[in-house]
Amino acid sequence: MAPVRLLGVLPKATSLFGRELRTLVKAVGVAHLIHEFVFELSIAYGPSMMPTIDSIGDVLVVDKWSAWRRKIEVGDVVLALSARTPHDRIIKRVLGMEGDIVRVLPTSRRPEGGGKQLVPPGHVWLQGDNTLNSTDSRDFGPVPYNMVLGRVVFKIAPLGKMGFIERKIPEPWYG
Amino acid sequence: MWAPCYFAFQSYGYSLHVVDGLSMQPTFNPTGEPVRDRVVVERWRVRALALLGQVGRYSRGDVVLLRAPDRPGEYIIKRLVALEGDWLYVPGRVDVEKIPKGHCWVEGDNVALSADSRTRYGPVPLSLVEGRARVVFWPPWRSGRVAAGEPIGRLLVRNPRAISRARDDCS
Repeated sequence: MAPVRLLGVLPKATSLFGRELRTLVKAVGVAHLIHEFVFELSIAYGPSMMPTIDSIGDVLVVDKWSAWRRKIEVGDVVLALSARTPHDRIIKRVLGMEGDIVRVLPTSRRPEGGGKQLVPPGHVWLQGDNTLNSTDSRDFGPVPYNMVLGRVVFKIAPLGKMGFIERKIPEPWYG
Repeated sequence: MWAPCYFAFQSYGYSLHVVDGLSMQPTFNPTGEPVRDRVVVERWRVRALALLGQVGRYSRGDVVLLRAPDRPGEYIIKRLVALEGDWLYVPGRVDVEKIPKGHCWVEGDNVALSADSRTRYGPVPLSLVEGRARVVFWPPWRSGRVAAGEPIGRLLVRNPRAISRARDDCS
C-alpha cells in the first residue's frame, strides 16, 4: 500500500507543474506513435515526381500503416529512405515488387537504357514520374522494402490541387 | 498510459534487443543456444542527427543494428567494416570492392556462419542502419560493453570524408 501511495503522491509534491508536464510527455508519446504507424505530414521538394507532385513544396499525407503492414503495391507513390544520402527521404513510384521483372528506362546518364532487371527478394523498384529528371532505381538499383516508410495518399496543399494520389501503373514502362 | 512514451524512447533513445543466431560469435552468443545475449542499442545518435538533417556518425568497427536488406520487417546485427568511398579487400575475391555512395559494408564476426555483405547482400544502404550496439546486459555473467574493432588490413583506401558528411542532393 505504502509504495503505491508514494508513487502517486511524489510527482505532485515535488513539482508545481507535475500534472501538466506528465500530460505533455504522454501526448508527445502518443503523437510519436501516430507519426510512426498511422500517418505523417510531409513536404516534398524536387522535380523528380512532376507532374504528380510539384517541386515547390507540396504538403502530403503519408500513410505509414500500409508500409508497416506490407500493403504497398505496384503503382503506389511512396516515401522512402534514400540509398544515396543516408536518412534522407525521397518520394518515388513503385514500379515493381520482389520477383517482378522491370524495364530499366533510359536516364540522362545512361541514354541507351538498361534492359530488363529482376527485382530481388525483399526489394522494390522505385522510379520518379519525371523520368528525365529523377535519380531513382535506374541509378542505384532496387531498394530494400525496409527503406519504404509509407504510402503517399493525399495532397493537402496547394489547395487548388488538393486530392487523392492514385495508385496507377504507368503501362509502357512496366513489364 | 506510459507505453507510447516508452515506445518513443526506444525509437529515439535506447532500445533492447535479443541477438539471435551465431553470426556474431564470439562477440555475441559465444556458447551458442540456449542462452542468448540481450543488447542495448543506442539509437539517438542516428535518429537525432537525422532529424537535424545531418548524417549519423558511424565509425568503422562499430557493431550496428540494421534493418535486413532482403527481409521486410526484420533486423540484423553486424559489424560495420567499410563506409562509402572505401576500397575494401574481400578474402577469397580477386577484385577489390569499392563501396558506392551512401552505402556501407557489414560483416558478421563469425566468418563461417554469417550471411552478410560478403555472402549475400553486397554493399548495404546506410539508411538501413538503426543504431549501435553498446552494451550486453543479459545474461549477467556476459554483461559488459560491446567492443568496437576493425578487421585489420582489409581497407586499401579509407575515405576520410565518409563520416559526418552534410547532405547534398536529394532529388
